[in-house]
Amino acid sequence: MSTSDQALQPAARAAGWLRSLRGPAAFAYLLLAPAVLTLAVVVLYPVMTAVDISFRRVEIYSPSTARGPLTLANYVRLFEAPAFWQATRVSIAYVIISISFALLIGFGTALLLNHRFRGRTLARTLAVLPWAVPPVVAVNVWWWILDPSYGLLNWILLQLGVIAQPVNWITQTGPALASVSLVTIWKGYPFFTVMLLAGLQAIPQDLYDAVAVDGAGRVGTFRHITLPALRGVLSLATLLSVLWVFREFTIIWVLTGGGPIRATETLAIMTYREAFANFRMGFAAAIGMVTLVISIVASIFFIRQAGKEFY
Amino acid sequence: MRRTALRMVILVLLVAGVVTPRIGAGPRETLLRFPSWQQDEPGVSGWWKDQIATFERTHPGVRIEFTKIPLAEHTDKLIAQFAANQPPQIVHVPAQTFFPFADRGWLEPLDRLLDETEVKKTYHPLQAKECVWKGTTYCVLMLNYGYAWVYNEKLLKAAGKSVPRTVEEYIDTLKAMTDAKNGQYGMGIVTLPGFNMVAHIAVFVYGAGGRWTDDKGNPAVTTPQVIQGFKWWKEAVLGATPIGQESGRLRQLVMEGKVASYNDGPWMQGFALRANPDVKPHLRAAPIPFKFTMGGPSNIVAIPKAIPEEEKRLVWEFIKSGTMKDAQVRYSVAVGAPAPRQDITIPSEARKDLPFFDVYVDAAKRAVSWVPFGLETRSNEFIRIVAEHAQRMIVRNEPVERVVQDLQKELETLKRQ
Repeated sequence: MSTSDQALQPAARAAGWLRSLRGPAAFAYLLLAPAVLTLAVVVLYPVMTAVDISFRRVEIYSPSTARGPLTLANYVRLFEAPAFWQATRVSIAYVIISISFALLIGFGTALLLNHRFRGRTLARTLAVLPWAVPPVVAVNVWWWILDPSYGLLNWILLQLGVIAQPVNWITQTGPALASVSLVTIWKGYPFFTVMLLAGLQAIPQDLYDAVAVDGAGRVGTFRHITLPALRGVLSLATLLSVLWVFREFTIIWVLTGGGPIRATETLAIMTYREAFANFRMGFAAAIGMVTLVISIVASIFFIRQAGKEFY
Repeated sequence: MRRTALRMVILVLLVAGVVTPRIGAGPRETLLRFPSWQQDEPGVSGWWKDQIATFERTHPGVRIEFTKIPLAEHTDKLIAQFAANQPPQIVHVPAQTFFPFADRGWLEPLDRLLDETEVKKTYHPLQAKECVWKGTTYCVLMLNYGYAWVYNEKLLKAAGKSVPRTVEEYIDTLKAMTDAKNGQYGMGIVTLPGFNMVAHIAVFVYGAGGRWTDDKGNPAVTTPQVIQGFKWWKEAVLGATPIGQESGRLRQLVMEGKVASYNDGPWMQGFALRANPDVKPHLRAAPIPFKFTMGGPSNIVAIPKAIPEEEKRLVWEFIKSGTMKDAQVRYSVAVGAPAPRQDITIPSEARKDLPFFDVYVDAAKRAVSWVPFGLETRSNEFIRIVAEHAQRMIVRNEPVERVVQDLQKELETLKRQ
């Protein structure tokens, strides 16, 4: 093949691709274009900007700001900062506690609501109610319940003689993390209920009939039929919940503001504080990038789990 | 056929709004955005609304949009708006947080404009100190103040106490008025991190003679006076206050009679007037029995550099109208404290409606500014750092002496950045 033939190859490929754009393919691309363009503007541009400023010394970012040279300083500082590791630990603990309990309660509720009983429709409505309440409203109600001085919970516990002194649910380090987790569980379990209930109703009755013939008990049926059949739904619901809880902001910010003494400061709260209170946006972008990487790793893990077929 | 097509085109243009704005459109309205935490604050909000109404009446086609941003998030939101090159036209911030704006070159220099007024001649000396950054004036002082102790006399007497004259008596009185099991507390002290928490700490620290920074602007929080102030604060918090409350809630609890007293600036008078009928007659004010009274500049107004010249002119006219003698008299009556303009007299009939006025006049005279000079351009971080360390003293009950060592180190790091 001559050199001129080789040079013509890419041009020929491009021409071929352009030809393929005629007809139905062109129409399809045309229909996709607005969505792709919108995605590029609202997702790609902010992400690329965040990546860019995470490698620069930027205090307050605006598109017109003159950018300094590229540097790893933000990442070096981040990995050396005890506050970052503290926020990472808090984030992990918060996700594990919240998701575990929300999953257990959601699963239990779904199993219960899958049975026929009187008032099931009302029970289903009540079970998903927390999900429908706007987060700020929910948190303010919980704040009133958990208020150390005038809260409902302390009042009940004092009346019952369970505690001798009011407990500082929000202003002591240990109870504060438990409190934000409690509100997150309350807000989050209905999602598991809805997803798992849908999953339970999709399991063919034939499978249950078959294992019944084989003499399987309730535990065996649950272990060998229900759980494996729900794996996909379970993984997907867990993945989405992990991502939501991992970047949860409203509940923590309104309830504790990340305190006391950073006891409830997750990576999401730390990112916000560094960007919009301390105005170190380059540093905040670096925290955001680490959070993004963790989220991607978690997503890959759960997507693989969800992909395993049962039927 | 062609006529129908033409009609269709005109209809589409009308619907799309391409033609409609041209029909019957009047002169364009100029909108001046004015976000402030004082938008619904009793007393002072009425003064602002009067000023706005007068300004709009005398400036047809100009509208001032007076909106509320809570104090806790006010400065952060404004800085974000400046960063996005979308600042509000009227900049109103606590004096403590003015310096980051001036330091970043976001504010319009006002010296030339102020020379046309009587501000430099007649205003409190704090105007020349707190509104000047690197030799240039960038703001107009709205209020200088001192804190006083607003208390419920009925609850004080019920505890068998009288108005305290010494610090020891003061803390003892606060504890005596506390019955935590029944939800009754001697004093409201803000313990949720933020501007007001540090302001309440400053009452004790500055009261003891401490200062956040020394004369050279270096952090100085390990002095015996600062340590003493923190110890008094810690004792009062642990012995007499409902933990985890912010200022709005605490003022409400004072008005409901569940909290017996509150350290606050003159604006507390506006809240006191709204107290429950069974509480209102018993509210009194007295000086806080410390060696020094915390206070200083309260809030300022300024003009952003980034807005069009015509808008700057309008904003300046609005600010200037507030510096006039009659406006300053009304301001003094509205806030229940001396206005920054020194050549005015408050009518005696107005003073009758301001029962705490004399206490606050005296407090303002004696007040010491708690601006952390030397760290003033990092006020947000300063407040967060101090609040976080102070929390260690009350949440983990860590000794004050140990915590202030860590606080000093962290403030020194902040100073170096």
